Amino acid sequence: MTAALHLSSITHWHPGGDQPTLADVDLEVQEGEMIAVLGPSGSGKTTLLRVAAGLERPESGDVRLAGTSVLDVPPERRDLTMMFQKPHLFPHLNVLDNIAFADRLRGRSRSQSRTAAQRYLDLVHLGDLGRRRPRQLSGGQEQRVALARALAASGRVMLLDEPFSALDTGLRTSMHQLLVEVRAALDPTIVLVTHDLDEAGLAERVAVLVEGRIEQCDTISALYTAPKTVAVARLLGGFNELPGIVESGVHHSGLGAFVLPAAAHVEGIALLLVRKERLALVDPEAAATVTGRVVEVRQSGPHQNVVVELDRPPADRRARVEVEVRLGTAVRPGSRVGVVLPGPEGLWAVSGHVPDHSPQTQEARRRQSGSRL
Amino acid sequence: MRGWQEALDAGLPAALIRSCLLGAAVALIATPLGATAGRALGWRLLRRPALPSVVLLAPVVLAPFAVAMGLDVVILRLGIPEEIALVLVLSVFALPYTTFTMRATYLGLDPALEEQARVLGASSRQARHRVTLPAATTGLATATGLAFLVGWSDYAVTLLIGGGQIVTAPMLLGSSAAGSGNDALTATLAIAASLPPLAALAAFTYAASRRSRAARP
Repeated sequence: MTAALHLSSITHWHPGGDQPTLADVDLEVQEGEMIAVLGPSGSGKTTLLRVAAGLERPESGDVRLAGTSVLDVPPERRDLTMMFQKPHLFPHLNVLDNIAFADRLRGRSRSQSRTAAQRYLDLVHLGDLGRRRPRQLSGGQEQRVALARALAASGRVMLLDEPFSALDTGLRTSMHQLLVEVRAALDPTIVLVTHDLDEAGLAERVAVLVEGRIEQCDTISALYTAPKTVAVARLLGGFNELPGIVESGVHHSGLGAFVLPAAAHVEGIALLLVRKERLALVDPEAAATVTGRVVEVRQSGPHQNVVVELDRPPADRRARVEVEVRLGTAVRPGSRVGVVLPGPEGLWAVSGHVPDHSPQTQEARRRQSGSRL
Repeated sequence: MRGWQEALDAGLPAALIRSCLLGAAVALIATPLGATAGRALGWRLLRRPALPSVVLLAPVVLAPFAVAMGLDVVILRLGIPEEIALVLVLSVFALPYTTFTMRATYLGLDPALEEQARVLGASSRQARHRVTLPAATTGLATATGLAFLVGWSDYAVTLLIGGGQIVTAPMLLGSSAAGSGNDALTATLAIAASLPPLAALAAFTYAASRRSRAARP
């Protein structure tokens, strides 16, 4: 099947930059699919969209729309549309004429384009505001109108560049709901750039962009359960990293040996990744995997994050793990606790370069080098 | 009424028309040039904007008399007709006003508006004509008005370049005030020369206030 949008081997440098903004980026978006590009600030997310839109030219690589290269095609003839972080409504036009803008460019009459625009305005639940000027709208209303205008442009692909990031939490949630409704009604192909994990979760797949490279492109649940690299795990947050070495599917460290899931194809020096919500606090005398002392208790939304300094660190340095517990769990800094690690289904490992000099790891390393010999 | 009769006899209607044409010609040249320069300065499209800014400001910094005298010599040598020369020189004087009015206008407009228009299907020309320029209407109207006034109200440059042959409303007023001793005529000419720009200003202010009232919820 031909992809609606295919970015292949895109490399882009900003003038004067000492490293590429995008390095050999490949991304394929299928018709009707929504893909989120997730990454920290400065990772090249916006540049990726601007390259796709034709607002920036890459040094190498190709941009294909429905199988046809559009690298030399100007933005207005690329059959895609883009929505920026700011709504950029045209101040001299009223709401309806803003939405009708693309239709008017295509040569449709004023009344025809306004009738079509009204349908999109109704879709974003602002049917009564067609005659208002942009400056008479609230921030949320402006973004809804911008979304309606992008939809009315009827491009093959919609590129959304953090369009809801300037909105407060409530408005953002309602815009997410609106996006779901719009997808159900129109089934557009969408590339959404965001640094918000909840927003990324709206997409079928999430491409994680770090320092201009796509580290992983997968479903959001796969990212949470099986991140491919440390960078992905750190971007998602909530992972505890325990250095060690993997031998025959078993992670060895100062904490002991942990069987990894079969899907974790890692050998050698590796970080054991455990999500904080998969760890459990127990009485230190109970059958805990490890024990330690609580050094910090932080509230995080409806949960508490408990930071435990381990008695038996996995390396020859202090090690801490973060455990998520329910709000109201009686635990104080200074108290001794046990920490239970989950079974293989709750563990993951990625190749890592954090040194672990614990005797257990050294022993595993010796065994490994011996078996190689 | 005697003053008005004398003003009509002195050629007031022809002088008013000449001033009006001069103002319009200056506005027609200085406004688009000022809009282009203002766009480049306001949107920081130039790598080194300091030198163009100084050059564009020079006509208002230097004494108009000195500039006009210098340009007069050049014009005589080149053999350019007086009317055209006058329009060109006054356009140079109007350019700083139109440029810096448009610079302020563009500073208040986000350049990304044009990019937004492009990704909605507009060519760069359409983006400029359908989005940026209409969004800058107030600034354009102000710049046009200022350029028109430079042409309308000029005395010194018209006298130097025109050599007394191009009789505009300010020229008529100046000669009456300087030599006739006829206070009634001078007062009438002063009123006649002031009324059109005042009426234009009133109409512009009224239109702008109506527009802002209409935009209010």
